[in-house]
Order: sequence, then structure tokens, then C-alpha cells
Amino acid sequence: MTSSDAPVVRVEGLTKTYVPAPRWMRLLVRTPIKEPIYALNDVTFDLFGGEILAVVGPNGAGKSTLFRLLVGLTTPTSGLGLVFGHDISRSESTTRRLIGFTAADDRTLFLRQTVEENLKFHGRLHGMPDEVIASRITEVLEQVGLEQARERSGFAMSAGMRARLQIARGLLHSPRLLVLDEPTGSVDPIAAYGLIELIRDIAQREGVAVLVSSHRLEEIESLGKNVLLLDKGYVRFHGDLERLREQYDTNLAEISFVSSSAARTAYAVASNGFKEGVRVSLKDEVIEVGPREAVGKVILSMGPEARGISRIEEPQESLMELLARMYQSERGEGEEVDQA
Amino acid sequence: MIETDFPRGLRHWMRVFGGFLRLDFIQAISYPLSFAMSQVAVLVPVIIYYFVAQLLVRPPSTVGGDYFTYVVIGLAGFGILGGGLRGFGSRLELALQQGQFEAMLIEPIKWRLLPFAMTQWSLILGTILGLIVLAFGGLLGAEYALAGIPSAMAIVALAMVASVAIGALSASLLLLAKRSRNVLALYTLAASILSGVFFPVEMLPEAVQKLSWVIPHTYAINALRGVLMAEPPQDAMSLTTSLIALLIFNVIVFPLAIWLFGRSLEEGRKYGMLGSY
Repeated sequence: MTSSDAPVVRVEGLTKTYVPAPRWMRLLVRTPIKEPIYALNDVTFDLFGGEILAVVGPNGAGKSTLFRLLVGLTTPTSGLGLVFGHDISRSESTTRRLIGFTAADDRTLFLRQTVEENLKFHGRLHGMPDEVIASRITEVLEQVGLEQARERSGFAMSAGMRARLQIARGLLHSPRLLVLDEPTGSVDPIAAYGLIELIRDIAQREGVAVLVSSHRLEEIESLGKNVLLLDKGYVRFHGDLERLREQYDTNLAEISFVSSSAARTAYAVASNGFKEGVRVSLKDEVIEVGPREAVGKVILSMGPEARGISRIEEPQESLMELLARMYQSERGEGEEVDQA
Repeated sequence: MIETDFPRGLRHWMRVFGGFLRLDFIQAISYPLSFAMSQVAVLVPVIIYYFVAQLLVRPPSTVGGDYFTYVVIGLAGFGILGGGLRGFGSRLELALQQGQFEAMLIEPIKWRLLPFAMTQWSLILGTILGLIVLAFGGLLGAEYALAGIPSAMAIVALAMVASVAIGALSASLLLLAKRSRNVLALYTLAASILSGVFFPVEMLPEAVQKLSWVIPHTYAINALRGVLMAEPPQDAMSLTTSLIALLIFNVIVFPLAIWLFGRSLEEGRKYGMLGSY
């Protein structure tokens, strides 16, 4: 499965349930899992070379479980996961050669060792000859902007530098798939912007498929269109961000007035004229009209009171607002179903 | 993609093992005082038993000609075996606590190689310390049969394999139990008694003596004494018997330990507890 039209990652109905350890194992160590935890439920998607798939979701959504499944650190309960056509449940070392992984925790680095030593160790385990390791170290350190820190030990680096080193380590063996678990989690916004630019550049220039999770939604927006929204292990949405916006569009227009009294007067007139199919509501100096297409009729119905209008606009929700609303509505629906 | 030298040959594995060795070396010397003190500490029992031996002018025949030499060889053999036993467990526990174990697991190496890669530093260190104990004992008057050195090397090689096997067994437990230090401490203590490091196994109650047959320490130490002591203990197991016993132990326990380690990793994967500690 190496042709360009074959997916780099194919996930079909992937499910992971963390079950309580058996009794004999609990004699060895007490585990916090008392009831089954449905970490991932029936997740399906394809990811192709050069694509970036941003995995988004609140804590406990299943993002890290998905990543851990893909790199073979845990096994699926059911479903299929293929990376370059290799079954992830077997965790073959050949598959791991093709993946560059950065964990959310920078403790996976050998902090006593220098940047160069960390990378050399990784290169050796990947079977790279010494001369290739040396040249690749120079390349990836330039890519992540750590060329001046080559001899610095992990303990002497900032969180942002460690995040960059993790990415450098993930890139060293030139993987065809990058799995980045919150790569900017501990990085300041400016450094995070640089990392996002880097990730986008790698995907575009080298045709690497990238799976990335982040809590910073502005990063998700800047990474591209393709998002996978997870919540409690379920896929809430998968696809283009624009389609998500359309799907959860409020379809409102906002008419702002010069004063709240002008808004109230106009509202009194307009709300009498539209009883069915059009929603008109008043918020301080603003009248909200839904659907958006009805805004002209509403303004006409105001007659001379429309002179008080100062601005008409389509409100643009931030991704954060949109997701918060989406998750809340999904949970609300879920609760209603439960009660029924 | 970068060309690698797969399929892997011996050279690749030497580089992988070299990488782990360097990693552990840097880790060890990062704490110079602690490192130095732990090495000096192994000489303390030699000094203690130097004085204890002064009390035994005429040791029993089960000890051989010289009690001090008897104990020094016992301590050296025990140290060599201890390298693998303690080494893998403590290295793995450290990697789990520092969060590096999962980073090792996502590298493209066979998981079953980890017991070797992660034990080699402590194994080499344990062997060097064993030699230092012998040399230090020699300085204090222990007498060795130098002609036995080639045989001793063969015994040490077999003991090192046994040591890795025991290390892998303890690591299998550690992967699931997350703590094995106390179990290891208990085992080490029991092994020091049962294997006759300080006194002949024959002094133990008969039922307890049988337990000494199942641990490799007994055979390794017995064989080392047989070849290195100028006047070896009477009624000691023959060199051939000890070597065969060690060989049998290795043939049975070594693959079992590696298999168990693999099973523990799979169980840890299944329950999502590989990285926890």
C-alpha cells in the first residue's frame, strides 16, 4: 500500500474500551479503572499523504487513545486500523519505522543527554548509518530552529525547545506519517505559531500525512480544513471546517442601532410583522434576525424606524464558540434521549 | 524516506546496543558521587569478611582451605549475577518513572530485545565489580588458582545469561506490578543465603537446601570456587555438574523469561498500562 491513492492511515470502526484489570493483576497493582471506559467508539476515517487531520476534543475525548493505538502502544478492542496497510494491533517494527511520533509529555526525551545525543540514539534505533544521522540532525535542527542548541542538554532547555526537539526526533528518520499529540501544549503562542507553520510546511513540501491534536483551536483553524471532532470517544464531526461552520451555522443577522431606545422601538414594530418562520430578538442595541435571508423584510417592516440602524452584519462565531455550542447541544440531546 | 540498513545485521544490533549502553553510561555518571559510592560499597563486605575469616583459623572442609577466599569468590559471583537481576528491573523502573519507556517502545526494535539492551550496562558493571572484588580480596590475602581463569570465564558467561534471564523475569513482573524492588530485595536476600555466598549450603536445613538447587547462583558460585580456589571445598559439586546445571537453567528459563516479558508487554498494551507506574 504505497501508491499515492492508498490511504496512509485507514481506520474503520476503531473501538477501544479500557476494561478493569483481571483479579490476578489487581494483586500486583491497583488500577483506577473500576468500570469499563469507552475511550474510543466506532471511529472511522482515512488519511492520505500530504494531508493534515486535526483531532480536536475536550479532555477524555479519546485523542491520545487514538494516537496510542496508531503507534501500537495499546491494542484496539475491535475495528480495524491500518498504517501503510499494516495492522496496528500487531505493532510491527516496520510500521513504527514509518511513523514519527511526539508524545504530549516531553519526559519521553532523555533530558540528561544533549539534543544531538537524543537524536543520535533515535537514529541508531532506526538503523540509520552514522553519516546519514549526522546530516539529518543538521537538517532537522535547522527545520525546528534548534541548530544553536545542538550541545545543550534537555534539562537546560525551555518547554518550547523541548517541544521542538520532540518534533525534530519525530522527523529525523523522514517518516511518512507524523503523529503529534499536542505538540504545542507547553509552548508560548509565538513559538506555537512557528511549530504550526513547520508542520504545515512538512505536510505540503514532503507529502507527509500528519495527525495532530491540540487544545488551541486557532491552531486547528490555521492547520487546514480537515478536522476530526471527538467527544467521549465518539466522532462528532469529520470533514471540512467550512462544512462544520455551515452545519452549525446560527443563520442569524445582527442589526445594530444607534441607541437601545431606537432598537427597542424598531423591535416593537418588526416583531409584530413577523410571527411565523422568522425569529426576531432584541439584545441591548442589537436585533437578531433569523434566518439571515429575512433581514431585508425585517428592515422594510420597520419603516421610518430603520433610520436608527448603524450596522448590519453576519455574526462570525469563533471556532471555540462553535465547538462549545456544538458539544453542549450534542450533550443536551444525549441527555434527552437518556431521559426518554 | 531515509535509507536504512534494514534488513538488520549484526552491525545494526551492535549500534542499537551501543546506543542503550551510552544512554545508561551517561545516566550513571550524571550522578558522580552516588555512582562512586555504590561501587565502593561492594568492597565493604570484603573488608568485613576479611576480619571474620581471622576468627576461622581452621575452616571446615565444606569451605575449603581458606574461608576468606571462599567468601570473596562467593561475593564476586553473586555480584556478577546481581548485575542482570537488579539491573534490568531498576533500569526499567527508572524508564517508567521518567516517562521514557513508551518512547523506547515506539522505536522500530523488537520489544523482546529490550531485556538485553537495557541490562547490558548493569551486567558489564556487575562483572567489572565482581573482578574488582576478586582483585581487592587478592590484595587482602585471598589466594586464587590462576589456572582456573579460562574455566571461570566460561562460568561467568553462563552466569551472565542466567542473570539476564532472571532480570527478564523480574521485569515481566515489574511491567504489570509497577514495583518490583521489594520482591527483588527479598529474592536477593534469599539467594545470598541459599546459594552459599557466606557459608556452605550444607549448613542449611535439608528441606531448605533443596531450594538452592533451583537458583543459578548456587551453581555459578560453586563452579567458580571449584576452579579458582587453590583448595576448593570438599564434597563440592563438580565443575561439569555445575556447568550442565547452569546450561539447563539457561536453556529452560531464558526462553521462558523472554516469552514472559513479551506476554507482560502484550498484557500491558491491552490494558493500556505500559506507560503508567
